[in-house]
Amino acid sequence: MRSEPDDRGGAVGGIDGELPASIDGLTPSTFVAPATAQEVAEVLADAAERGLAVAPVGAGTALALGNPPDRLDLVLSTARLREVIDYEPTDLVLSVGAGARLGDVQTVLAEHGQELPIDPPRGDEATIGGLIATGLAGPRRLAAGTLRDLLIGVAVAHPSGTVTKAGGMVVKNVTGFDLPRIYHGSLGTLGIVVSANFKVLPLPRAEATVTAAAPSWEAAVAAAERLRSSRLDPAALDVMRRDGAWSIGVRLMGREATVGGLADEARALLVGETAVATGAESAAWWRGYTADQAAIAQGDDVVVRISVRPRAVGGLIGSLVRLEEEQEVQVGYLGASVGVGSVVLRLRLAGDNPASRLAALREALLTLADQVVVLAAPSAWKRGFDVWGRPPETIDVMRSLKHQFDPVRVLNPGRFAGRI
Amino acid sequence: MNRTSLVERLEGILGPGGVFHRPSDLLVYEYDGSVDGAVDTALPAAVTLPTTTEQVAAIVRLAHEAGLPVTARGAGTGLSGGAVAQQGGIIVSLTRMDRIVEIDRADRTALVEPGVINLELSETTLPQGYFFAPDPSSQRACTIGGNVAENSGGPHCLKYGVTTNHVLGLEVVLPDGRIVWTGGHADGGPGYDLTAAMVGSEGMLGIVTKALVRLTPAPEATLVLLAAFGDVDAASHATSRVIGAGIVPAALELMDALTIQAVEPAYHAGYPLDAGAVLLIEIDGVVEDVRALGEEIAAICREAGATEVRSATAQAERDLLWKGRKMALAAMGRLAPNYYLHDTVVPRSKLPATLHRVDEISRHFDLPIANVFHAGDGNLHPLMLFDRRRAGDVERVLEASKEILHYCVEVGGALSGEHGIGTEKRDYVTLVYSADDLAAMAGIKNSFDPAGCFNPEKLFPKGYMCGEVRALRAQAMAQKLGIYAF
Amino acid sequence: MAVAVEAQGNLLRLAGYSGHDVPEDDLLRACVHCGMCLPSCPTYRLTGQEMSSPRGRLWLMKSVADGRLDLLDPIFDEQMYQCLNCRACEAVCPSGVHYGPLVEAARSQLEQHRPRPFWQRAVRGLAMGWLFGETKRLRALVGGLRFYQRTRLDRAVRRTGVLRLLRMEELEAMLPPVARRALVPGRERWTADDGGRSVRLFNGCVMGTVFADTNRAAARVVARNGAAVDLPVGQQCCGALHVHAGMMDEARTLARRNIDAFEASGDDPVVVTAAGCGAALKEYGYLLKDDPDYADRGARFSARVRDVTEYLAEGDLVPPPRAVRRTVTYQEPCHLVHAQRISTQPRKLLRAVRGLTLIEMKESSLCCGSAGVYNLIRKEMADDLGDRKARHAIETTATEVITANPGCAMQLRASLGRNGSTAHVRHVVELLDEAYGGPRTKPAVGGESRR
Ligand SMILES: Cc1cc2nc3c(=O)[nH]c(=O)nc-3n(C[C@H](O)[C@H](O)[C@H](O)COP(=O)(O)OP(=O)(O)OC[C@H]3O[C@@H](n4cnc5c(N)ncnc54)[C@H](O)[C@@H]3O)c2cc1C
Ligand code: SF4
Ligand code: SF4
Repeated sequence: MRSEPDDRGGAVGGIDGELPASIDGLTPSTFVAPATAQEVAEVLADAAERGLAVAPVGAGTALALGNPPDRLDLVLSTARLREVIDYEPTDLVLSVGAGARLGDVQTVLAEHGQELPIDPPRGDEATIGGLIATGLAGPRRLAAGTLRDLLIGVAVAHPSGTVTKAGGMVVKNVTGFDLPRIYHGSLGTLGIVVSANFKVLPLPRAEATVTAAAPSWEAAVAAAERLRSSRLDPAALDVMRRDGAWSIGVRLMGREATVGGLADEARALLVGETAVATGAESAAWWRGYTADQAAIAQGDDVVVRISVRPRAVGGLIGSLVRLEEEQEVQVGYLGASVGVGSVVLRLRLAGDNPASRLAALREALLTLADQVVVLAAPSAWKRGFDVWGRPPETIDVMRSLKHQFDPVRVLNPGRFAGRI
Repeated sequence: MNRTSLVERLEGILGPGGVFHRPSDLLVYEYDGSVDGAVDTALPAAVTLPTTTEQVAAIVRLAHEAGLPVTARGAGTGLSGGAVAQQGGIIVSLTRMDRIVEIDRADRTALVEPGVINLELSETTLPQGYFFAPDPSSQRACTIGGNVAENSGGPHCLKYGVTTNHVLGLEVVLPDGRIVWTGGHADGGPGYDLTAAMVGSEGMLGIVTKALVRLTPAPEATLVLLAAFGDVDAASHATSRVIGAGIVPAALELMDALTIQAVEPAYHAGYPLDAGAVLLIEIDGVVEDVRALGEEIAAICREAGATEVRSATAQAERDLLWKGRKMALAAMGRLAPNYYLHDTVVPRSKLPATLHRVDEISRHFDLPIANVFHAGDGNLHPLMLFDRRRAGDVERVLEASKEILHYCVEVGGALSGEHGIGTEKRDYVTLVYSADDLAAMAGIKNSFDPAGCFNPEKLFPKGYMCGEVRALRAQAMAQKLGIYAF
Repeated sequence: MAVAVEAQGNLLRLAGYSGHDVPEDDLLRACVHCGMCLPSCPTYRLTGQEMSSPRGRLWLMKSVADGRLDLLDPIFDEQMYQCLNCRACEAVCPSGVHYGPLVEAARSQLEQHRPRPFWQRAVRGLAMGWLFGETKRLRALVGGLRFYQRTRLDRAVRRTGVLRLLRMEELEAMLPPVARRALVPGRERWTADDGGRSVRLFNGCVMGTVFADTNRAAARVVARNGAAVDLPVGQQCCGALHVHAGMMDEARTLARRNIDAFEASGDDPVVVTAAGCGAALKEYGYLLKDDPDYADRGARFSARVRDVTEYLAEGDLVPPPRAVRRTVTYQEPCHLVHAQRISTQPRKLLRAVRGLTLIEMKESSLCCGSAGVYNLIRKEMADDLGDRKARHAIETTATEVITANPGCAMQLRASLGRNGSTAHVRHVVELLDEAYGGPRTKPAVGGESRR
């Protein structure tokens, strides 16, 4: 079934949230919000036939992510695909439309004492489809993994006009290639995820967060290492610098009776003043801490994610501190997931010609780590390089993958790694 | 290239000890662990036993040049015919690439060659407090390469996830002979997740020559509960109650009466012989939690009608309880000369109904069917017992398995939870996937292996990949539009 | 671009099984080729090749039965004899495949149908038939060996390099100092400390000669634990070497003579100090199953057989009075752990010795490469296994490697020496005997006291 012609022409009623006026400075001529998976496919087929470029959009919380698009004609919102398609609490599985917001999904799950154990920055507002496309994750990935680990099935609309499914509604499935995980993190360049199935988990019965100030980054990293090698098995463990001060946060989950004791043990492993937050306060603390990691460009903010092997995080933080002085960047925020090996910086570039200074900073960072992604920056500054970092040696396989799924480059042309 | 020069060139790469080509030497490479009758055997033209990645690449380049099929082989314990060279060609056996290259405790990773045996990796790292979580029942024999290719699971996948959740990166020889890495120590690498594509690809996209896998810290405490029930229904009900209580055990396995009768006399694991079903539930974590959760689960089981609940904490006792479970499949040889099993997954809530249906099918076809399976994640292993020398037995088994597969798919299940599709189930794939769905899978295949030489005749239904190479209809459209641009 | 590959498998005129000792079809088909046995197989571990695995060998046997592989194809001969017959595969097979009898039958088929060069037949006939066929002859030969060692002739001979020429250097390296006197059935007896039980000791060919003192130690320990020990006259070599070599007729002849010799002693346990002999004796029932006169008698005899460690561990061991402060490691003989499934018993006995520290070595149940006469005919594979074993033993820092089989003892001796270790190799009962005070504290009756 085709969507009404005038649906394509502009804003459609019933969609909450802001519609993006532009993506990296390019303004779409058309905006559509299909109501069904089939409609999405038809829009794509139509675009393919007419040679239009389509940018799928969820809640628009990570539109800054990616290279500036080569072309942009049509923005396709998934906002109307937001129903809970199937939820079997006893089976611990959920099927939900791509336009559903994570926060709403978590509310539905919480009624049955369950959750998706993920905490992407500003994730509550983000849509499921957007989270799959960007693959962005938060500190809880240390113990619980990412959405990739929970994804068990998808339905995807393709520029060929078809809707395909892969995986299913069972938690274990090796029927064919693992397409759901291939779509994860593909920035919508292979197809538009219209719905997704997840394995969900029981909510932890209790949680606590212990935080402590640290005199230096060395002290913070050392404390984190102690916690990581203890028996505590933290749900998240981050070292951070905010407003110039180093601190450490550890999140513990378990039974009511246990968590308090674990928190005490954590405090014993930390030095100096500690604070403990429990329950909703604990979760809120992490939401607050990660908000600055979101791929949202505020003013002239630049957000960069640097990933190294976990053992190298301490060294990386040290190098970043030195680099900060050398390159005269003002890092307002640094958040490091220690056991994961990922560091996110939110920074400002002082002086003139910020675009070339950003390019220089990025080059400098690439000497420190293999993976450097500029998550957000003013559009104009992003044109000189690939925000995803160096293209991998498998880029030709990736190109042919793209060619198999989207031969005329309808979907987000140019925005993904290697300007795919 | 004729046969002689093929062999000569292979020997040039590997030395004479690394190539088998005489027909009688090839005989033992015509099978894998899959059941006679369900998978045809097939002879390769040559078998190679490389010891380095470069050798693998050279073999693949040679095959590529000659247009010969290539089939990777690990320990050959696969149950879907994956390692059988259906179109002949070259088998690349990875058993001589069995070094553990690096264990990094700080990163909690191990870099291993593909021929490393699953259990031996864990045995090597356990003294340092870590283990490799995927634990297929075949773990004492199967290789990490095979695990990656089949995305293998095991009892402990309920809590820890399957192989794909534990693979960080892979060194791969692509079908054109190039050596590349996907993923790596640091995550967040740019581009598509080719590691995800490789895991579970049944040797159809490339040969894994090194795997960087995650090591999991050994839990502080572990407890195994054995709960006996009057019948399978009560046991499945208890399973739902445990999960419903918000507990995720490390493992939750169910064995029915027939299985108990096969296993108990052989291993004396202590399963009550008069029980209709037993649940084996393992919990692990910090000491306080394990103790308390153990009591909670025991109470739930009793409420759900358990006739007996026992617990084991000492390693030896736990091992004994597990041994019966791990050996169950292969111990079926004691009940009947042959067995055949499926590996379907159904939503947990559909377990009781599915088990009833299996029971009906068992009676209808007059085939004893034992059930031993991963109840926690709904992964069934209905085991049909038969004697292939008895006329009609094989046919009845295949008919019965068709019915089981159909039913499981009907209730929203999957064809395979861990063993893969291979040749065994490829003609059933259309039960779950439409032509369009398959076209998307073919898209993956085509982008890695456009010539279709890697492990042909697997996964896609018979005839699907021959002739015109299929892909998404988009391709046809692209041609129509004459656009090939990037 | 497809390569033209000639059609395969069209072998003409295939010889299948015929004659006696055909590998039993039912046993063969029990293998479901699951592969669970692969990692336990020493030859597979070393080569990584499927034909050198239990599953591969069973598939080859099945292929001959199915007429797909010629009995005389070189791969069949190669694989049936590359197999160590260590039975590790059998012990781990979840489907209960009886591998041992199958490979033995397959070898028998080769013996019956394979043309062998004259000299090979002559040597085999001489060694296996003549020498081991009558214990007296072996005793005489071993007597000569002892003379050779005692007179220091060995050093002189070694200097000449003639051993290397005859490729007997390894054989010599394996030989422990030969016992002063062979143990001759009927000549020595041991009375029990108390209690009226009695057991019959199976002497064996190598044990009764080269390792005669080990047998004496075993007898003393058994006597210490309440059973009188004697050795029935007329007993012969157990025939294990013959069975392993596929010389089934010779093996059956020996088996019948042993059954005759032991039948006179009623139902008393037959205690064995060599794991290889024990395994063979326990299978007399099977070996003679088609012999109407001996089938039942063989089974009854087999039921009486106990490895000495098995026998001692059955009851409560009289606590050995002396402490032995030493670190040891235990190497499991294949024919004890795999063929007889005896694994905890020797350890239990070792733990009964005060002061003793037992450190387990890695892969303690992987074959050491001895496997009867395997180390003589397949030196390379045997050496690889021996080196692997020696490395694991050396890692434990033990000063003694304890085992329970003469073949293993000799192989271990040579391997440890080659790898620069000075560790001694001893039998479980020798260590126990030491803890009980050895021969001096408990003078035995009969031969030993007549010394
Ligand atoms: C008794 C028994 C119990 C089992 N239990 C389980 C279980 O609990 N869970 C489970 O998941 N499976 C189980 N299996 C199935 C099997 O053991 C697994 O699929 C295992 O991962 C296969 O490993 P392998 O080394 O034997 O691979 P093989 O059988 O040799 O090969 C399997 C597939 O992997 C490919 N492959 C092998 N190595 C490579 C490589 N390096 N690169 C690319 N492709 C490669 C092959 O081409 C083939 O398609 C069981 C099997 C048996 C016999
Ligand atoms: S011998 Fe036993 S373990 Fe080995 S493949 Fe056959 S059935 Fe499996
Ligand atoms: S007897 Fe030993 S060497 Fe022979 S196949 Fe079995 S495990 Fe391998």
